[in-house]
Amino acid sequence: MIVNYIGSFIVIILGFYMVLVKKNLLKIVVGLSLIDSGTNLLLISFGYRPASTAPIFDNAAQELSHQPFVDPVPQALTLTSIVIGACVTALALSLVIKVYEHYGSINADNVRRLNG
Amino acid sequence: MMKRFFTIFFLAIITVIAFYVSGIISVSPSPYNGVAKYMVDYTIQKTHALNSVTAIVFDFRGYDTLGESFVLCTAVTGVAVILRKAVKGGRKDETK
Amino acid sequence: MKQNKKEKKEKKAKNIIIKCGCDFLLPITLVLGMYIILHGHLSPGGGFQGGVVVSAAVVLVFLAYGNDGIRKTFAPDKMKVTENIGSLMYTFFGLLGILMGANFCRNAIFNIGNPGDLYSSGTIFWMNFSVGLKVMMGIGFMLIVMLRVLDVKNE
Repeated sequence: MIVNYIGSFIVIILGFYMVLVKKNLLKIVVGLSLIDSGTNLLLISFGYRPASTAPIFDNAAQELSHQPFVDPVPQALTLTSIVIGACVTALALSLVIKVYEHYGSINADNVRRLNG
Repeated sequence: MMKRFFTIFFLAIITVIAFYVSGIISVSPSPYNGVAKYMVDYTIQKTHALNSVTAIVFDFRGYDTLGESFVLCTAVTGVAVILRKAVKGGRKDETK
Repeated sequence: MKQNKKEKKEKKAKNIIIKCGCDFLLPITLVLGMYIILHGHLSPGGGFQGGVVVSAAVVLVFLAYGNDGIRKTFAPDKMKVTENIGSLMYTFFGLLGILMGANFCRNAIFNIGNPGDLYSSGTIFWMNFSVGLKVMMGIGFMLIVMLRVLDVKNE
């Protein structure tokens, strides 16, 4: 499925554009979250196999060759990645709150040590 | 203005490379042998669980999940330290 | 005078439809989250997903009753202690493999119950439960702290 790869790369590059160009700190945090989502999509797309189902057995006696599974290892890694992305977003948002309390603005030009 | 032009230029180069790479990847499907095949084959035999993803997260790669839970603990502690004025303010209101 | 207007505005915003909707959704959310945690080894889901669903109760209470409702309902200090207890439970079930004579994080008690039962698969069930406890308390505490920032600024 080439559509999945192209879509996830487009999401990642839009996130890079937002991080590099935008001046609003909240938009930079949204860009970080976009990069995270694009990486998750890419990881899920790596494990795709045609004509297969989710990696869950119906009962204990199900035969493996009857209906193949998609690759479960990238799904487990994506589960790890989602939790860490949520932690990163929460920490960045609390830092933005602290910056607004200290400088009175969330524009990166007005923050003295962040302009450039 | 110059900075934004260079940014868009380099991002365009990265986009072209990414499309080329995605074309290469999509030709060859996932090989699905080795560790994934082992984990799916031995899910019921070794763990008695039906959900294969849960068996991988909590059994085959349990050490990984331990580190992940410590990451979550660190993030919660960091938020509580950075916003400690909010935590203290809430406590003050409770005693009122 | 200005404060009176502000209070009236806040009271008008939290109207009866939002309150009734949140009261209706709150038990459904809690039961669904606990179901997802307990059936993690049989159906899609697990500790992380169910914990996040349960911790949405904080947002529902905030939508209906504001910060005063959160202050009456939840106890953040106990939530922080419970999160650490969940982390210690996970480490204990990892060490159970060493106590039973295998390596760390080995599923040593997996052969209790048949595959497909609710209580089966040994330490996976308990690890799901401890991670769910940890995630629901951690995310709930984080949400409470970040929602209180709105209240501190007004004073």
